[in-house]
Order: sequence, then C-alpha cells, then structure tokens
Amino acid sequence: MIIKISERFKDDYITREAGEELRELIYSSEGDVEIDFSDLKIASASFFDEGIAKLDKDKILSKKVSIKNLFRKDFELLINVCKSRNLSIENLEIFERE
Amino acid sequence: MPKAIDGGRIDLILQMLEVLRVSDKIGISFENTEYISPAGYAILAILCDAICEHGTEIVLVRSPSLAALPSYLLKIGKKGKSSFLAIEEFEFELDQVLVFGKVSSLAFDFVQKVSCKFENLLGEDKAWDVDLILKELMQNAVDHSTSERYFLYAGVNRDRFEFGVLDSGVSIPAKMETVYDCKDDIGFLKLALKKDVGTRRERVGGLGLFHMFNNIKREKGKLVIVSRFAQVRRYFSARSAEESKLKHKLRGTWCMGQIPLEK
Repeated sequence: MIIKISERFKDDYITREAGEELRELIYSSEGDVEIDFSDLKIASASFFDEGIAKLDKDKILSKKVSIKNLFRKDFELLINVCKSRNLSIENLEIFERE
Repeated sequence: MPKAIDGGRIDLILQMLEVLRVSDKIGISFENTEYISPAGYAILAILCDAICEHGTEIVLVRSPSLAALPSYLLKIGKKGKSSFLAIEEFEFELDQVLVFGKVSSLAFDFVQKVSCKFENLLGEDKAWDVDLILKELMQNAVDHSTSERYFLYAGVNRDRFEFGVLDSGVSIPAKMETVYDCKDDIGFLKLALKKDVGTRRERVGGLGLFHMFNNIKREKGKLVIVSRFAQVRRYFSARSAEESKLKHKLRGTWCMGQIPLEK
C-alpha cells in the first residue's frame, strides 16, 4: 500500500488528529506500507509524533513500513521525535528526499 | 499609546485593556506612536476585540509620523456597538507585515501565506522553522486554550523576523494548574516549555512546545510567552532570560517569537 501524504492528507498534515489517522491507516493496511512525503514540507512535530513515533511495533510486526521523500528538515525532525519516544522498530525505514 | 507598539511594555497594554473594559468612552491617542511592529498590529487586533466586546466608544487621535493605522482599528471607531468585527476584517497586509484572525479552527491559509510571502527573504531553512513554530502555536491556541478567536502575525521588524499567536482563551497557568503544581504563574510558563509536559488526556503530546523552543534556540532568536500574571522572555543569542510577574492580568496567552535576519 502506498500512502501519498500530499493527496490523502492534503487538507491537514499538521494536527495530532491527522497523525492518528495516518497511524491507523498503517495498522489497517495489508502488507508493506510506503508513505510518500514528496511535494510537501510537513514542519509539524505533532503530526510526526502521533502518526509515526507512536507506532506500536507489535501492531506492525508482519509488515515493512517505508517512509520516503522527506524534506531534509522534516527528516531531522522525524528522527528527533522518534528518539524522544524511544521508537525502535527494525522494520521501519526512513529516507530523506534526494 | 507608546512610541513603539510591539511586544514590549506588556503591562501598559494590559492596563489599557483593563481600562477600556470598564469605560463607556475612551480616547486612544497615537500622537506619540512612531512605529508599530508586526506583533504590535496583532496586539491592536486584541485591543479591537476588547473594545467591541465591551461596546466602548472610542475616539482615535492619529499620529502625524505614523503612515497608517490598521483598517480594523478604523472600522470599530465607526461601529459603537457591542459585537465583534467579522474575523475576516482582521486580514491585514503591508509590504513586510501579515496579520490574520481565525475562529475556532487552524489557520492553514495563514501559514501558507507566510511561506509564500517570506520564503525568499528567510531562506528555506528559516522559513521551515517559522512554519513549524506557527503550526505548534496555533494548535495550542485552538486545542489547549479553546480560544474561539485568535490572531496570528508575521513580518519584518527592523533586522529581525517576528511571528506569533495571540489568544484570549484559557491561559497556560489556568490549564496547567489542573494537572501540575507550581508556586506561581512564572513556574507554570517555565514548566510548559519542558519536554513531555502537557495536559492532553487523549493523544498525549508534550513535544510541540519543546521542539518549537529548540528551533528558536537554534536560530539564536527570542521567545516571549505572556499568560495570565506572568511573562517569560528567552534571548538565545545572549543566552539570557527574564521572568516577571505582571501587574495586570492577561486573559489568554501571547506567544511571540523572533529570529534574526541574515545581514
């Protein structure tokens, strides 16, 4: 499953509510998940925290989650937010935009 | 009104707000005013709301050295009745200033407008920092203070870029004292900036203000938070801080940030 943030979350990629929706989408998807952040700068600790950093590794054991095309500053922020929550998931990959 | 209307002399502004809340008619003189910063325009928007809320009749005295007063201030002069101006009336733009009002919802359009208008001036990295900070501040205004009406501003103040959110909702100390214990309002404001401190029961947060604080720190900027009876000021370029109690109460929270512009 590919989740393109600029399409699926075009009206709100800022709030905790939107982040929670993203997290639930990841849980409910069958198979591997690719989250595509191209065409956007997120600049929201709340969205990243709720959508990614709060992922429960037990709920995504059977799938690989790839986060791609993050703007450089968003990439740094997401890494920091994940560290703040002590998120350590082997099957989660995060890539900066090239 | 003081010589410069900006984020300073908060107690004087709060005293004015108190006076106009108990007055039927009041004169506001801009005779001595030479400069209004972007934060000053947002403070005048709060002043307008207070005037409308209490139906105070006002007489404006303009300044010969001030180019223009904001359009919303001129509209209430003619109004003379106790109802708010439509929030759209607070959309105000000058060459280097943006002011915006919003009711009960996030101002996505404002943050986009700030990016469009100032990204060339700020550069990509600083524009992203401003974007992040404004988003966190407006979420706080809507979620935590439950403020119906709040005001946002951004713009150039001499060699600095300033931005912020002013609300008239539930103050930070009032919200925090339901969960935490501090000896005074200064203590609550300082605590609110720490990591993992928050008052949400659902979608537990506590990271937004912390990251906002860190971003201003990295940019060697300045952060002022005023709420209820306290203000805290952080000057990251000088690594100094000021905290003080206010003589007059602020109903709500004003968060005002500044970062230096490249020379």
